[in-house]
Amino acid sequence: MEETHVHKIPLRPASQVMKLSRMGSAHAHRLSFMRILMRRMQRENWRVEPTEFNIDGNGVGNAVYTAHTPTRAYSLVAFAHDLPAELRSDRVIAEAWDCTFTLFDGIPTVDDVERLSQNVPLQEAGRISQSELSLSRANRSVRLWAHVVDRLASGEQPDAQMVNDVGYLMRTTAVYGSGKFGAADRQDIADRPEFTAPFQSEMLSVYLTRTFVMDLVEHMARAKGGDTAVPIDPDMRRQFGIGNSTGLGMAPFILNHPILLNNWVASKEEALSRVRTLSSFTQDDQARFADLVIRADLNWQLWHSEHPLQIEKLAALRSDLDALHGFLNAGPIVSWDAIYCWGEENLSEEGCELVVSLLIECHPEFVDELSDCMSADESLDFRIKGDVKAGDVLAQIEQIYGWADTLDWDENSHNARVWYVSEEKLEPRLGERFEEDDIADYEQPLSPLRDVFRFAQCLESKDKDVTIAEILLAYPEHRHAARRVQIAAKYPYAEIRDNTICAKMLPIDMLRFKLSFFGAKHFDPRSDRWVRINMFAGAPYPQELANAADDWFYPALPS
Amino acid sequence: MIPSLSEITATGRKAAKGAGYSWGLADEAGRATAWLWDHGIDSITALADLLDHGDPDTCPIYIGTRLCDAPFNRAITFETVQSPILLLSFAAELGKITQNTIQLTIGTGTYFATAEAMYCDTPCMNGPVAMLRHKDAPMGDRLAPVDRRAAPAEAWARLGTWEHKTYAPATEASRLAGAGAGLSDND
Repeated sequence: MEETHVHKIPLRPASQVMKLSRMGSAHAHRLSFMRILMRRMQRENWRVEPTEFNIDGNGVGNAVYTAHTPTRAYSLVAFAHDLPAELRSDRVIAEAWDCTFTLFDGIPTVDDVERLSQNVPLQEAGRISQSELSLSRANRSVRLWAHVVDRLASGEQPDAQMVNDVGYLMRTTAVYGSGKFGAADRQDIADRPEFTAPFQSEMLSVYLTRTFVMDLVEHMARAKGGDTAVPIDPDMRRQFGIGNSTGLGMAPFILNHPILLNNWVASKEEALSRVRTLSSFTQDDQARFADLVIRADLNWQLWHSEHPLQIEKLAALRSDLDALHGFLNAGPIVSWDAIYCWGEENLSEEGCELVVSLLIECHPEFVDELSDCMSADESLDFRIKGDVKAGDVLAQIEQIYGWADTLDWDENSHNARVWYVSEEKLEPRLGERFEEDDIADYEQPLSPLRDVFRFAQCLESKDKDVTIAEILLAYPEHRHAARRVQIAAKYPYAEIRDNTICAKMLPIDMLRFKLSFFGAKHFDPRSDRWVRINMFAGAPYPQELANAADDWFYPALPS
Repeated sequence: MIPSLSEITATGRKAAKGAGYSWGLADEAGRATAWLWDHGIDSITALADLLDHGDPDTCPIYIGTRLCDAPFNRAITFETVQSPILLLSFAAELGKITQNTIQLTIGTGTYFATAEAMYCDTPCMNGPVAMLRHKDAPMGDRLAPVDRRAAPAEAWARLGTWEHKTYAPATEASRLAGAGAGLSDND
């Protein structure tokens, strides 16, 4: 259908979408990284095969799963262990896991696997090499694992309710990439088309991990039940995702990569703007959208949390979904934009951001190409432009950070938190500045708002024609803030529009935001700084890829 | 130990911070160290020496960032710069910023940086420094990225000592509260 020319609806402003409460209400969408990976795997007809599976009846041994792209091969090398229950922790400070993994660049030789067996199970205490792209680990959901093994071993299917309640058999924790512990640097692989979009090697590692875990549980059921054992029913099998348990490490990432953050958000907002701008909206479109809302509702029914904050948000989302069903059933709607505007007017942030993801979902033809715009070479904007005048920088600060002009930085609540790194396995942590002795001595530069205001105070005391180069020469302590302002002035979504050291700040908002870009679902906070999620639940397995559509994220409508 | 470039960047940055540099200058130190290491130069030892015996007046990180912040038009000389080879990274950046050829002299060594590439005419790690805009074509061999290699263990350990100063001591209270999760995850 030919589109009539209309004025493009502008992208939503950073003052709206970069607020933490809004970021913490984000849902996965078509441009989420696991969706991008799955589309490529389908489009290019990737083939995945287990090339080694040397695991005994106790679940101890190793396995190799190789993914063949049209031009390359990547192999998940998995080490399975028999972990005593008391050692099972998702924290960085854990020292043992049920399974450990690396994604190998190519097909590993026997010597490679032997080398990796000496290092990968140690995780942070081991070393990997330029031949490896990621390092990760996973722990069993003990309750569900034992149940599934027992049921399958005795020839029965697992209890559907239990599967729905947990959603995964193993839960990954950290998935390290980009040069960590000796792995290949991002720049080593960034020019490969399959890894151009962000976090594709990490997503591939997790996708292959899911496949391995399902094979492992069936293997253990066979070891226990012998001929009586049965495999999991394919429909139920597809419901299993791979869990992830994530702490504070993700929050520094989005603060430390402002240009990447911008490109993620700009791509998503551009996608929304394109859909909102479409002038054509038919009854079929309305019916299609209404079906998608029903499927999102089914997803809501599988989303459980015991955390008071998320319970409240899920209740709001319940009301939102009911209202949305009502709105769609009430009569004809005039446009895609009318849906968005109605949502913004009538729904909670949680519901409104779900509508955004659903709108984007409806138009792959205008959206999917934006996945090419989500990476960033951040080194290109590292240099500070020293000839900019102090007065001009102050004007930029006013424009970007002016919303916080009225904050009284002498008030403890605005300075309450300290981001720091513990010497204990370098675990990222959040401390209380006025309650923990000396913790501020270890503060990481993760409070751009406060630091920019300190910089602004310095600038205000100077001649407005003095250059930044001269000021930074005398006050090098403001250098990181000066760089930040110049980046934020160029990239509208580079900066979070909130105070990241405020007493009321919820780190889970940052974690959820990042996880939504990964493509996670069922965000389940365990505290204000820790969240569990489900990844790839509903996704086709490798052998199903050829015949599957990119339509797996929301549960299917009942037949 | 064969470090990745991102590990060198992170260790250089945190070590510089541990040694008292501001975060913004520490970012410069990490970036310069990784770039030089990638181009075959032992910047790890150079940075460790600098941090162990630092003096802001003769520090190549201070000098290099100042030159990049406010590019010069005349020749600049320094009788003493500590670990002067670290200036080479900033010369490379100046080549890009100014779109000119920058000549860097260190003792008996001469290097050229253009907007596209870096050249070494004669290598030298120490000595008086001069930097100027060079009107003719660059001379010498192009300095290209090289393969990964083992870091000098003793210098890497010295950086680790500085880096460690940025980490908060492990306390039980921090262990329980700081990360916001329990110590066991059996479910």
